Amino acid sequence: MAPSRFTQNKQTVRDLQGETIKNHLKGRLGNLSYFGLPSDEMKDIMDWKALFSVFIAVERGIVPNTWERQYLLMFSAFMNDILSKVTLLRGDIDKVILEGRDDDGNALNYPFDVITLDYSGGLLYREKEGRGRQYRLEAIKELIQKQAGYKTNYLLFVSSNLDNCKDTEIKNTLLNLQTELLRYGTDAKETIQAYLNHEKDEVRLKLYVPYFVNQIAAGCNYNCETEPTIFYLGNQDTRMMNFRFWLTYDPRTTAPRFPRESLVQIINSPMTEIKEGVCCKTNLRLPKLQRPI
Amino acid sequence: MAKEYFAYGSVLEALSSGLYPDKRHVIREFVQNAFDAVNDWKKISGEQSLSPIEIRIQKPSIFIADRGIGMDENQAHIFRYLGYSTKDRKEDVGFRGIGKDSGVAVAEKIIVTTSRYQVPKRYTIVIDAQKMLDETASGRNTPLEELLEKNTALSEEPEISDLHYTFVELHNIRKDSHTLFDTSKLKDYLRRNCPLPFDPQFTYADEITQRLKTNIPNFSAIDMKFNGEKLYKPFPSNYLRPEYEPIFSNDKEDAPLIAYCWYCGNKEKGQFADKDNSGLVYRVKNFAVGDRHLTRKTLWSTTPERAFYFFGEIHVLNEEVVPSSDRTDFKDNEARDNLYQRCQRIAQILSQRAGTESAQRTFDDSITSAKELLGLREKKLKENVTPIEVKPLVEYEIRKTIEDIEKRLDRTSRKRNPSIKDMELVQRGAAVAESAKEFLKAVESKKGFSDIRQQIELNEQAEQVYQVIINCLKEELSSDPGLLERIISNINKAMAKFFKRP
Repeated sequence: MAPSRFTQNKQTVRDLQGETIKNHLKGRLGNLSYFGLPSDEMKDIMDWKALFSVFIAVERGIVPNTWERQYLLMFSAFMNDILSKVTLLRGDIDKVILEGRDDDGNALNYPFDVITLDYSGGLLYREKEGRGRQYRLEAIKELIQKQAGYKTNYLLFVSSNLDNCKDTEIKNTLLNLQTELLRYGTDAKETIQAYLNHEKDEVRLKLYVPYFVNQIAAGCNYNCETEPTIFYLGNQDTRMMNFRFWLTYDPRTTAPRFPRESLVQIINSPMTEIKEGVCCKTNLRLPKLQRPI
Repeated sequence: MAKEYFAYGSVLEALSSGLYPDKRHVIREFVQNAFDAVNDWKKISGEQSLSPIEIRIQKPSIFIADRGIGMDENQAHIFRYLGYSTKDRKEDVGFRGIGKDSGVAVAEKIIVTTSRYQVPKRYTIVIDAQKMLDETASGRNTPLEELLEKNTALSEEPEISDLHYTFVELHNIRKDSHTLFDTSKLKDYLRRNCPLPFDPQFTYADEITQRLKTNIPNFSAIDMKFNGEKLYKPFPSNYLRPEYEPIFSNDKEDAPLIAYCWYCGNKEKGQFADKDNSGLVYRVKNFAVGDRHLTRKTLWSTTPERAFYFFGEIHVLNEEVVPSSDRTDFKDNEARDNLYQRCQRIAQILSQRAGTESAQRTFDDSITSAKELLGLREKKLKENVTPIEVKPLVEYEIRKTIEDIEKRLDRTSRKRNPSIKDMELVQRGAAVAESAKEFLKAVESKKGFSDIRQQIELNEQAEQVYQVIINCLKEELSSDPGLLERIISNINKAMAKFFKRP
């Protein structure tokens, strides 16, 4: 069996996510449905098992013996008395989301109350070298759009490392953001440049991911509330980020609304760092953006 | 000299797929193992509230899990062997050591993780069924020994010594076995065949369970969850209170009990409407052997339809009566023949009971019909609407009714041990026969009949014409007296209206 991938930092992230679930979904605790990547150890599922009645867990396994991790996931479910609650979808989660079914043809049935995309890699991976499709971002987009069909409120948790953060996608998006703000009377050049030139990749991701989710959600008549982004060192000291979004359906107009969270709010939002399992404030030395008067 | 081998791979193929034409038997084999493990744990722990056996269907796999005693290292090794078992024929349901290999017929891999109580290790066994079958199919004639050794693996890891369980995945169910993913059919099969508790909705669940616990040594029913749903034995609706029948090996006073039967009759007439859940089923260690047709075939030589007037179970206690590998029947031996022969008593009792109930129902129906007939006739005579021309028919009808009731009265009164129902029928029957006789006298006196010739004036010729018509009708409609009566009444009404005296 693979060595345990448990870290205290990751546990703190799970605790924070658990609090977020309890805060936003308190009326339905015990009956929630989960979709995500729990890994064969299923630490998050174990922590939250009393809150959920359904777990749709995706596991692709490791080639060539993909069945091993998939088996371990179900074995963990049995050992933790939730075998009947867990449904295993086999395959790559992005493929499962984009195709609506797993490698064995089992359908992905929406909606979910909590979605945990706990990636071990980066969010900006591309299908092929160069300009291939950014399948993870496409999958998140698809997921938000599919969820929107059911008009229910839900939580979206995304974790990823910083792979591919040099991708032009981020730079171009941040520059677009700068232009957009200028159009509305805010000169954000200094701030955006500070983000673009910052030595740490995580600051750019802190801005990019909430912006991305907000935009997609707004396009489906959803409001998105972003909780403070978390940075932490994961398994084997991998630099990881975690995002928590509370998405609520807004039925007031048929036309999509502008995101409720303003660009200024997203830019100025703080980032929390978890060190040895403890949350600390970070000082990224980024200029704050002033709201236009 | 090269090592000599005496068994080759194709044996595995024959044993795995040839044994079980119904793929669901494979699942039952694994449930049997789980059942034995749970029972062993029950014996050691004395626990009464045991964790259920869990079955989870997750395409492309099927998982079977239990918190039974688990396997130690030796048993985990043996699990890889073919046809070797450490199980006790008397105590356990499975004992041949080939049931687990039936998984080879349906799945590409069999993966088992197990930990035995008080053994601080867990063992994982992987049987690569697909590789074994591929190698056999390639015509390489690999010795069985080599095939099993090469394609099965055993590994171990530390485990908490108090934990005890077995977790099985039948991984990648083959296309030709995809019927196993028909959850409704599989669930139905498990409900009929596995040693499940009775449904709490079944009124006599507790009573029967108690009786079985008292009369069957080590009787056990184990909870099972199928995709999270708790399963129970099925039962039809409209059943009567259960009755019990012990079956002894011979008629001597000290003859051993070889089977114990319970059954419920049908509240309604004849066979249970719920055909699938009617009839008797043999059970060994509470697992079904064959289905309701096996008891019908082996116990009912006459009136086989009466086998389904009841539902129930025959729990076989004689250890010499051994289920066949696929559990569709018993192994052909003397013990089985004796079981069948002795159990025919059940069929006799049930057939007799069915016969009695059928006679009572018919008698009851006759009394009801007679009452209805008398009531109707009486009403019509009071209203003066019965034509005098049908008087012979009415007399015949009443006489036949009296005759029928008296025949049934006579038969029922002559019973040696009449039941309360019989006595009640005799009383009601006699009263109806008496009123029918009284009524017949009234009919014979012509009182209440209508005569058209007294209502209108007909000359001799007209009367002759009328009589000819009536005679023709009587002749033509002798087989349908109801219609005859209606036509004559209508003719008379029309004539009365047409020839009404001014």
